[in-house]
Amino acid sequence: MQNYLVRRLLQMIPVFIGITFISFAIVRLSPGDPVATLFPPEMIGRIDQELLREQLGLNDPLPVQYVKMMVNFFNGSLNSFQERRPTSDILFERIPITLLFSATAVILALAIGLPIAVISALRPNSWLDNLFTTAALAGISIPSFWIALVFVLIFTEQLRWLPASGIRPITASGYNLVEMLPYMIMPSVVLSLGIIPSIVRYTRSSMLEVMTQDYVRTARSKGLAEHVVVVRHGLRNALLPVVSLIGAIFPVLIGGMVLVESIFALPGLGRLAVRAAQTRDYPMILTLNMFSAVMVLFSNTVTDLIYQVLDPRIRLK
Amino acid sequence: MTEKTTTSHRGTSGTSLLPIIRQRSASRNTPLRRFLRNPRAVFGLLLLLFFIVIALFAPTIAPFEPDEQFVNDRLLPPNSTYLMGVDGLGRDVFSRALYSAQISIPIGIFAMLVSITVGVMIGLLSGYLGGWVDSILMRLTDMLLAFPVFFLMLTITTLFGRTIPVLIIILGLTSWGVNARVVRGQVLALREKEFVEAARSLGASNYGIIWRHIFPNIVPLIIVDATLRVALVILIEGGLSFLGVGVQPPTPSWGSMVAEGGSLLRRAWWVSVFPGAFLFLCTISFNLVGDGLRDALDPRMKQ
Repeated sequence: MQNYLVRRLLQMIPVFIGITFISFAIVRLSPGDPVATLFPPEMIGRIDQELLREQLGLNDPLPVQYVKMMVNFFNGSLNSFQERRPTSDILFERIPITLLFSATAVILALAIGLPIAVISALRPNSWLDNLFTTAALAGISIPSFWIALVFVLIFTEQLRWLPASGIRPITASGYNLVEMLPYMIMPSVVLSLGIIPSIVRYTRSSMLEVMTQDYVRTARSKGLAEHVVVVRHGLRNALLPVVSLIGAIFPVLIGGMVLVESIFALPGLGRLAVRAAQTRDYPMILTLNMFSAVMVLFSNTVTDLIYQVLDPRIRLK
Repeated sequence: MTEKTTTSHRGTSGTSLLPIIRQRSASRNTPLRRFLRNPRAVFGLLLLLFFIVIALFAPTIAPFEPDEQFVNDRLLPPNSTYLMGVDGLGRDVFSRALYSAQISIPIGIFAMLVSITVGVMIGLLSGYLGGWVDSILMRLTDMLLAFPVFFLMLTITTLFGRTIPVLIIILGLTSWGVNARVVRGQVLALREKEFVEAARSLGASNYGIIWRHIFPNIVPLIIVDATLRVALVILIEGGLSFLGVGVQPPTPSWGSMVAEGGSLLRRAWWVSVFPGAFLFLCTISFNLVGDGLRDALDPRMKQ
């Protein structure tokens, strides 16, 4: 177990280094000049531009730039081009909001997706199962940015029930969830729409398989009530593969956050990413790429571990 | 009697799909029939054909040019002249939405071709050759899958310019990860099969075994994946265009049209709602067809 963990962490290192290389390559091989984007030529002279370039280290040979950026990154002193302060500070200010919305969306998706999946699996190919399958296909086909606007149109413009934007940064004035609740409903629902279909599909097929197992037949022949069999013997075992799905959902959620944060004006990582890309803020782009890659690698590892704790039949070597 | 042999064959055929299909075609239960019996799949196919017709004949169907401006009619709601209203620049929303099909669907199809080609190549090589080739290719796949892909695309399209060919290549090159893994898994199972063993003992080359014996068995898988991939790519292109880093105005694209209408939501909902509905319907048509194909080509997955 411990050996497994150590080996797993060691395996992450080359993948991580590869990711830093690729991120750096993408950023540095792209055409365009961050100095010109930050300060248009009509604002500062050619000489100042050159000075700034020197100052930001853009004139160093590429390998030197790479090493410098990495060293600074791990020192926590890699400064954003635009804000002139450590990228890690900016990152950590924005994590809470992204985390809050991702977590809410996942919980919401599980709360809606699991019952649907169980109902579908208990009556495969029934009209209800077909309805849910169709709805799931519709769910993965809905453009999140479009349904978000439709929600705003209905619930903000027409019914005036929910605010479309205006949430304060959580770090600014403490966490007041009750006050934040109305601001959270639409973004969380939109985010969860994108993940409910995968949860339904996964749980449904896993549930179908589990319900044919010997231990389910044993439980039934013991005379247990059907709902006990379904929940305790069926669903609990069927949820195992779903755990691994939650690890895989993470990158999808980050992508979804980019769009959802733009629409609902949420000060999270997604909007930071759009701005960093638009202003060619190389250090910020690299930091965000590395952070999200680490989160994905980390969540995959944690998923494997949870999997093992939940299923004693699996022994990780 | 025939039904019985089919069932027993299904039990032993493991992961290869073609034997089932060949056997079943004798008994009136071809994939095509299975597909046509599935109302969801048929609906998807009709919708898909509708969009293909739109894409091919947009200039004939559309009442106006996509960038024709009627300044006096700006933000006019839907009426008999402008079926889906007029946008902020005085352009007919309906005509622009039709022309968008000519942009978004080809982007989806070409990016899918790039993605599937790379994914299948990597999956085949990795699964069949194993060893260090497998290790390197799979680490590469891990890396790609560890990147939140939408984020990666956002970065690349912003930095490398936003022309349509660049968009196609980037969408294709960043989305082959899952495909490579699935193909590799199939190949790993197939290469231990007796028919591969037999081909090898008859002196077939690696190249011959991969193309003549393994590849045909993963074709159904590839077809299903390719159809679903078009849907995904079209949706992602919509998202990128919505953020302003995909298809660039004035070229009409459903995603950028939704974005143009976003700020006008209160005054003119039709500017963003209709193009988004086109995008949604186009995506779901590919998803319905892909899902129908999956059930038709591999009945075991439906359970």
